[in-house]
Amino acid sequence: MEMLALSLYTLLAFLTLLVMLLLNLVLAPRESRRGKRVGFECGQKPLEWRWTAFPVEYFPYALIYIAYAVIGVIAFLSALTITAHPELVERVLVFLAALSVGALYLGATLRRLPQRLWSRETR
Amino acid sequence: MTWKTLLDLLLSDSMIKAAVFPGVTFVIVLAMMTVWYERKLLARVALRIGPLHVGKVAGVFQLVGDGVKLIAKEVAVPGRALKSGFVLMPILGAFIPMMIYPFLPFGADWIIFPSEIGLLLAFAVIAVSPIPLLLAAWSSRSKYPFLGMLRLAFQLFAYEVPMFLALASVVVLSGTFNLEKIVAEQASLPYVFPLPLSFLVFFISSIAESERIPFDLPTAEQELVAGWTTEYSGILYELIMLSSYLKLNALMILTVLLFFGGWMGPPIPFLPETITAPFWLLLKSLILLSLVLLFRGVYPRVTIDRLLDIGWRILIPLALINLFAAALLSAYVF
Repeated sequence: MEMLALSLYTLLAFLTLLVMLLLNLVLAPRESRRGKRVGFECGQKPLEWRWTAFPVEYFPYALIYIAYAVIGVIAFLSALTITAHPELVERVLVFLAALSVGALYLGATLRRLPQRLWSRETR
Repeated sequence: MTWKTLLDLLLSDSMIKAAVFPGVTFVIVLAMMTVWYERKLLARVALRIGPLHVGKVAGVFQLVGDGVKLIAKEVAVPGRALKSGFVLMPILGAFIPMMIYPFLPFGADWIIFPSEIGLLLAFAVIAVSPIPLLLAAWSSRSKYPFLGMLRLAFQLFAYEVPMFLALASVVVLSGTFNLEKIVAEQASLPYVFPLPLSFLVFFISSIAESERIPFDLPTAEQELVAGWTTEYSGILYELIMLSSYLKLNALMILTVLLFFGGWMGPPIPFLPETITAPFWLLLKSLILLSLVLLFRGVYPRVTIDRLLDIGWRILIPLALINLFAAALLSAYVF
């Protein structure tokens, strides 16, 4: 019953998008000109794309993400522990308190997260 | 299969839920009305009138007109773009946010797929939804979309973790992943009172997740033309817009379900509960939505370092403290 409703919903959602695309195929004009296939730059003919700079300033955030993604999963599992085994709640509380104090300490001491891995200040 | 079985299927409870309410029609009409409401509200903020001429009252059919116009436009695919990804990813990007809705209850019986792990399923879909958008920007192979995509990735990574932690505190307090049970637990006291920080973290993260001002850096018009959507036009652009509004609405409804007691509300005389429940839910989410839309009229955009700072340095510690508080409350108070 529920599965039927979910399958019907999925099918209808997909069909709605498909109908929109089919209508586009029927209604939209198709005139291929070279100018239309040029990527946007500033109204002028764009420069050739060769290399682009990846802003390495934000790389520390990727590292933080890796750390926090693991912590997030562990915190979530500890939440599940509380609901499944209420007798273990004290241990989980100690763990969560340690996590919160650590996160608070970091948040308070790092006035801004480092914007560069290597800078004049850290030399 | 005879005609009778087909007719039975078409008139069945499942079909009505899947097709009408809270199914596809409702979801798409809600997204369209949200755009209309946003335009009308922002116009009032800026002392303008907003959509006026299409439709008898206050331009309500403006969005139908816009939708048809975009469908009838030619789709221009840039020569350098990866064609399959460029065309497929917006379709997937609109389809995935639609799949959040089957897991959201709109009333005690108004749910397409009731499940013991409904919250987890909804969150799984929300967590997957940015991936096609990132790939769409990647397939454009153009300068502005590339810069927009980098910003989008940083923003979504920064705000998904606190959102996840804010959900965890609700799960700790209610002891279940079933959204209907979570709402039932809030009959006496909505969770926004015991978990105010969690609500704040979840609300701010949902604004960032749906790329609304003040967190709309990936599509910042004044700096990046249209950010990661620069190369898109016609129906594909419409699908991207649809995706963003579907996600915004789903997140607002989820916020109401988790923190504001869902469909709980005073009974209205002469109306059965099956009608008042969705009414209260949608009214509450409309109030939250108005707040989010007003931010666009009132606040300037934050810079990217500020944005990442808020996510990593403020919201995550707040969410962790609140998780600790929720564990304390569930152990000794509730």
